[in-house]
Amino acid sequence: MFRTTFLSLVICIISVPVIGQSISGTVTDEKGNPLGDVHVRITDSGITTITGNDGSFSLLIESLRKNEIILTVSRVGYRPVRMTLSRQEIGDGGIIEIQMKPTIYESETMVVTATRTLRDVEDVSIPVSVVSGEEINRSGSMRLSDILSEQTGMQIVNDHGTGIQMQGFDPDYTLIMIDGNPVIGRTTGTLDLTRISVRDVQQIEIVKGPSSALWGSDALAGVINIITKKSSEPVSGGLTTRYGENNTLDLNGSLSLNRAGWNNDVSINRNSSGGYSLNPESVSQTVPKFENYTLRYNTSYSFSDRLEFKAGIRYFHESQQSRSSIENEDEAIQLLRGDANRQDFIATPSVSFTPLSRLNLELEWMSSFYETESELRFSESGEMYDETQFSQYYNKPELQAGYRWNNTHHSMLGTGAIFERLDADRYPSQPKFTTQFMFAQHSYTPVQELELTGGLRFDSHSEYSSQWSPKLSARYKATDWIQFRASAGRGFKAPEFRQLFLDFTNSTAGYSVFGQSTAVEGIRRLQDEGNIAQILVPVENLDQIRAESSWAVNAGFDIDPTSNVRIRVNLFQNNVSDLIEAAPIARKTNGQSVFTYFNVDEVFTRGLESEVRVRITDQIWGSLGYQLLDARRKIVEDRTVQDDQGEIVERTDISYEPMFNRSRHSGNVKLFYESGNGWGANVRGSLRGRYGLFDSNGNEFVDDGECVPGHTVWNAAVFKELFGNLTIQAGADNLFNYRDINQPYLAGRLWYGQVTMNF
Amino acid sequence: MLQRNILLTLSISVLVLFSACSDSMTGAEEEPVSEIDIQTVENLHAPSDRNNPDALPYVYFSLKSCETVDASEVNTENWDIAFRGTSILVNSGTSGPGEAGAIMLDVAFDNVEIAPADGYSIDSDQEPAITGSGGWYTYTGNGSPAHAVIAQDDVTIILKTADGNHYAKMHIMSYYEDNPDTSTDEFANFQTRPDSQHYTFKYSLQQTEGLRELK
Repeated sequence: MFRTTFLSLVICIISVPVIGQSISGTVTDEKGNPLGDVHVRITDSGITTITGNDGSFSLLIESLRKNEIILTVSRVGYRPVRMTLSRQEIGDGGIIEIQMKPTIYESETMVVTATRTLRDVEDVSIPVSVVSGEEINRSGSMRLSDILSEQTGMQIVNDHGTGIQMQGFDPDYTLIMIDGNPVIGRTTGTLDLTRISVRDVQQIEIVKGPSSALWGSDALAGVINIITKKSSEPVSGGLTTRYGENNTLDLNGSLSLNRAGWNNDVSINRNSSGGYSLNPESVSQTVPKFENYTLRYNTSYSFSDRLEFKAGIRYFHESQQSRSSIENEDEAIQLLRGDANRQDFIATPSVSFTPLSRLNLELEWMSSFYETESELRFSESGEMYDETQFSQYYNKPELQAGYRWNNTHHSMLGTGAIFERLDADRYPSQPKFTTQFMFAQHSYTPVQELELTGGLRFDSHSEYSSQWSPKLSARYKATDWIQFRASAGRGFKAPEFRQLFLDFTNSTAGYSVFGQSTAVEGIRRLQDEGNIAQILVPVENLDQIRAESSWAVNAGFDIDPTSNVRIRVNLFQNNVSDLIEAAPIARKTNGQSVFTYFNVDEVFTRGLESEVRVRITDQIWGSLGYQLLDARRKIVEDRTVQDDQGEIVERTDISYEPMFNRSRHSGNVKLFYESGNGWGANVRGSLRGRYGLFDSNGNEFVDDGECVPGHTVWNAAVFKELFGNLTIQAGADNLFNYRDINQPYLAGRLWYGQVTMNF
Repeated sequence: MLQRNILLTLSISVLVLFSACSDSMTGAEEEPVSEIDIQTVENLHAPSDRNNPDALPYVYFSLKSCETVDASEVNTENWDIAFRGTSILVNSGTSGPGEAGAIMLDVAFDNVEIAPADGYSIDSDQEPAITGSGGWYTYTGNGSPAHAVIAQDDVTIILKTADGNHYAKMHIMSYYEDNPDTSTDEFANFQTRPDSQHYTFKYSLQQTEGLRELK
């Protein structure tokens, strides 16, 4: 029978001691074949090695002053093995035989996003999907949007950037993190996923359902956390080049240098494209020509077993050249040339201190900024047509303490603050705001089969009402082939800058939009200028704006009917309230309106997500994913209707109606093949069912006539490993050349070639 | 160009119950007979200059004749309703000397069987009787299709004529030339979108004075 707890799988035999002050051993698979490339590590020491092709390894342990060592053995595609050895057991040295079993879930890995502590993905009470770095490489993915588009329950949507729709939520409601730190810089809610390179990524962890109890604002639909690759070999590195249609070039280099206790990982990425056009009649390209660079550096230094210093920086810069046109008063077309630059930067120094073996303290600082600037000039005269500039600054100190009471109780406590500032044309007041937060989490594991975790976070904010975010989750392993998980919790999303601080008057149309914090002053100013004809909502009656929030339940199970099949099912329901929308508060003398933001809308999303992973043979494996989604918006309508006598009566109708851009059905198919002698191939298909596109009658919900048919996108790749460290790959994204002006991120079929070299 | 394409006069005999033989010889008062005139008007062009809203006159319209009325007759009861851009006037209050009025009903045209007796609004400085945005149409703003005036299916305008004696129901079907399908890519594209300010509407007018039946 198939079993999932790795401890019970371990078969280890301690043999005759041979070598002094070292541990040696061999690692084999179930059939006794030696396994190379296995990562062997002594926990809390930085002593690591990799097994050779004969499966053997040797670790020097002279420097260790411990009576007990914990050995962790891991390899992609196999369940990790963890064993505790005492000095006596090792004697003067020992040969250990370790047998590893393959996993169905490639995510045998440790994950951090579910609990803020490193835990085995099988043991956490919240379902976490993990996309491995291996899968990213096999798929030839360059940017985060590429790989997420192939995941179950994820839909790429475009609104001022390429974002992700998760459990039916717009991109605004998913928190995107790199190594546990939020990526800032959203444009009308969308964080453009093409800003993030997925080269040199260890894994991507995806948690669905509200996670504000741990991560605060924005984690309403869920969290996507990109864990960058940190090598532990003394010297290693890699070069990857991908070139394809539209002059798309991706160059990536990485270098890792590690000495006892000091680890360094550097990676540089250059990504560029000539852009493409889905509408040949238009002057402007759908995706304009661009060129970007990402630089990443991570370092860690262990002063002792108890004290470690870590720091990471990331810098991204992109420049984009576009063409567009406008019509002047004489209806003559004038060409415009656009130059846009954007950059972001993040630095995260941190100290980890373990004064007692049960207690761990982590103090972290995060500094980040995001800047965009764009210019539009007339092509002929070079004269400036329009110019915008936006800068966002974000600083966050945070302290986190974890305490392990015993084997059944584990607590965590954290506190911190976020300081944000804006500097942009549309925000003349240069607004600042501050968030202070505290969070606590407690896990109770009475028996290995059962775990209960409760968490609570409090966010107090300078501009909107405070937020309490609780979450409760449970995991129960009923038998060795079925495990249940359930969670309930609340998530929130802070009002955006524009919803709080915007001070904008459209110079051509003449309407004005104010944020909640700038509305009072803005209305007074317009009144003083004599521009207000009528007040619709007196400013005294404006309530303080509330964060958008959601209560959600997720429940599901993992079933392993045989050792080669894993079925995962999750049911979800999210009830979202206080969605923020702009509504008029006054009428201007020019006939236009003055808008500000209100908490009005309510929506719910519910559905089912399932995934089946199958290892057909040692060489072939695949998966099938499916999501059923029902996303509806509450529509309240005051209607004037007639009674029996034909006289007019007012009636309020409340109904829940389908939302736009949500597919009821979506799914994916993936099939991977690896020959064992270096050849590999894969085919991946993403299917998206019909969805509502245009609100052609303005009733704010999808009617039958407003749907467009679904589509599928197929990607395929073939690769061959040469000399063990050089891999050449050829592939095609969007094999059948699906193009739709409403899906601007799909460029049509893209052939590409890729070369990867690792040393 | 204004066209008259369907003219259907429906005579609905109202069931009148006569008692067996009383008064039949004296010529009893006849029950009023409902006579409903159903009209569809296509492409009524009501231009408005965006930069100078008062530059062009309204296009005045008579429900009884189903024809436009010259702007010089603005101060008469010869017109019932007037169009300019998305603005619609009724002949009453600040707009004209008549006794016209309107009620915006959130009921589909075919489902309106009778006109309400009371509740008719007249044009005023504050508000016209016929609500535009959020009334007979929705403006899509930055939505899709962008910047479009979409006539609402489930809105019916109940009208009283300028003489105050006749009731009518009206449904505005389109604001664009030749009543196009607004869900197409062709409509979404500004280059290929038909011209606006062309009204297509239908109405049912009760020809019998004072009778509220509309179906």
